[in-house]
Amino acid sequence: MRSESLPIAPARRARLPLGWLWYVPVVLLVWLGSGWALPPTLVPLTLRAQGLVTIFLGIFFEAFPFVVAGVLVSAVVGLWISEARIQRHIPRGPVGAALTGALLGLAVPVCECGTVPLARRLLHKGAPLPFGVAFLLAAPVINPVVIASTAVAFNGDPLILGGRVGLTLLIALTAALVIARLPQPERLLAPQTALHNDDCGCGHGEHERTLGGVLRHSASELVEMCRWLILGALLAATMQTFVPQSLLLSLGDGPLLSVLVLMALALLLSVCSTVDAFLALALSTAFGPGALLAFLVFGPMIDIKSGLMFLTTLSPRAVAWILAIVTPLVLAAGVLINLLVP
Amino acid sequence: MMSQTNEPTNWAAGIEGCLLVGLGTLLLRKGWEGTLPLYIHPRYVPLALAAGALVLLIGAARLLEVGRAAGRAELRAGAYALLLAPLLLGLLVPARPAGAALIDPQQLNTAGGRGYRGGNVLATDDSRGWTLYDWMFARYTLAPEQLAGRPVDVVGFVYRAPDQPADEFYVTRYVVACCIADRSGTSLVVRAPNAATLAPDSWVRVSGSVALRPAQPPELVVADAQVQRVPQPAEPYLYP
Repeated sequence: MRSESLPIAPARRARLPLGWLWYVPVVLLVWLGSGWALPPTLVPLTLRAQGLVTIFLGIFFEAFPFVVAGVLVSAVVGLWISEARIQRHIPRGPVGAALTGALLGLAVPVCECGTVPLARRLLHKGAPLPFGVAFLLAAPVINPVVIASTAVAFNGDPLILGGRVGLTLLIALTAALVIARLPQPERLLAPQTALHNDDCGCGHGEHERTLGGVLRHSASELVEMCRWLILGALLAATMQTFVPQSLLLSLGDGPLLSVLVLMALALLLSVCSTVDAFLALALSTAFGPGALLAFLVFGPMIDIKSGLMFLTTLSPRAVAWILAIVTPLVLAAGVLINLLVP
Repeated sequence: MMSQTNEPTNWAAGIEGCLLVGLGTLLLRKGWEGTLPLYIHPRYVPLALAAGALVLLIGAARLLEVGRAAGRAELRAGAYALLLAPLLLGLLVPARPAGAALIDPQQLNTAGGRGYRGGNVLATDDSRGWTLYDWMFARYTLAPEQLAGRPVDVVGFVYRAPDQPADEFYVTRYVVACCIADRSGTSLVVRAPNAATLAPDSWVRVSGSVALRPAQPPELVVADAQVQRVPQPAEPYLYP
């Protein structure tokens, strides 16, 4: 048992409310998109619905391999790496733990979808909370793939590249250290994450350190991850279909509004961090460096998709705190850079 | 809806196993049909197929637990409904590329004024080999007088903006970096006598020569266009 154990939270599960109601929009979208037996007044919606479905499946098919990879790595960690070993290798102090978590992405280059199952597994195994929070926030950016894609997109521009990495590190560390000092730490983890011991917590009994064990261990976690990924992808696709980008972008004038607009865009688009640099490049003719950096830092930390997936690992209270810490920090940094850099 | 169950049949394992097998099958089927590039960049197709195969195995492993005691297993109607979404939508909604319904006309041809990733657009090029993506960057990198009169030969789908004259349309293509969510539209204005007969989203080949319409930057118009209906390309998007 580690020396800084979090008390086990009372049984409480991040659940989708009124579960049966989710069948309604799903069936409605199938009906509109397929065009079967549609009344004439609804036929014009078919193309929009099909577009929405295309975007939704695009986000889902793109993210799904990374979620599967994260779940499998999480299963391997769950079966092969003991709580004692994790406690030996991760610093216990909040600063050391947060720094280790923030830099772990250099060794585990997955986007935000892949970090969540791994973070959950490590926290379940007793990794300190600041480690998990820093990893969740920083790993989607501070990894070789994203650093390389940012460098390629912006021709190695030191302001954008250095700013993205530096701000991500700073904000992730800040959020992790603030979260570490919050009262009632037992309320900060999702219930299944909080049951930290060497039991996988997935509802199985004994399981073997075999391929079959890894697969069985992965199944329930994959279902849990996928439901939030799918919900996030549906919301992002809906926003993309019905909210024109130009409407948002037309609001973005001035050092403050431009940052707010691109932060909102990052939240809504839910694009993978490996390619968002190219989207930012497309916006670079109309927006200053502060707004671009806000887009590149905020999106990988908080978007519709990943924000919902955080609920598998952290309590709604913790996610709200992360939002409350990250949002003003990114906003302030973006505005400051807009004012200081021509 | 959740319920605790300690019955011999692990219904949660059965349902989850079926859903996961279904998701894996969907991915593999999309790969078999060749429709994955309608959603994601072709370089990610092998990843998606690998994920599909793995999830098939994970689902099969879960199904093998149907006869085992449920333990802490719970039925999660909301989660199952959401996992049904990609299955039902992927199987029952026709696989179509993103088209005119998703275009924001004010965002056409705005995909990057700085830096061009598709190759070099040079004044000495034969512009008949240019894609719509090349033409977009030509507007940024070449002087207007270097573009006027150049020959055009592009393939794209028909998009008609709300305020466009009846004899005009945009021949359009989406540029996709990762998946369709990050799409941006590239286009040329086409003026042709048969423009009004062309349905939105229909694929056409446009040939002719480019004229400049005053604007900032100047708008490129294929004013003497020959327009020919063509089948949808196997890869409907352009890639940077």
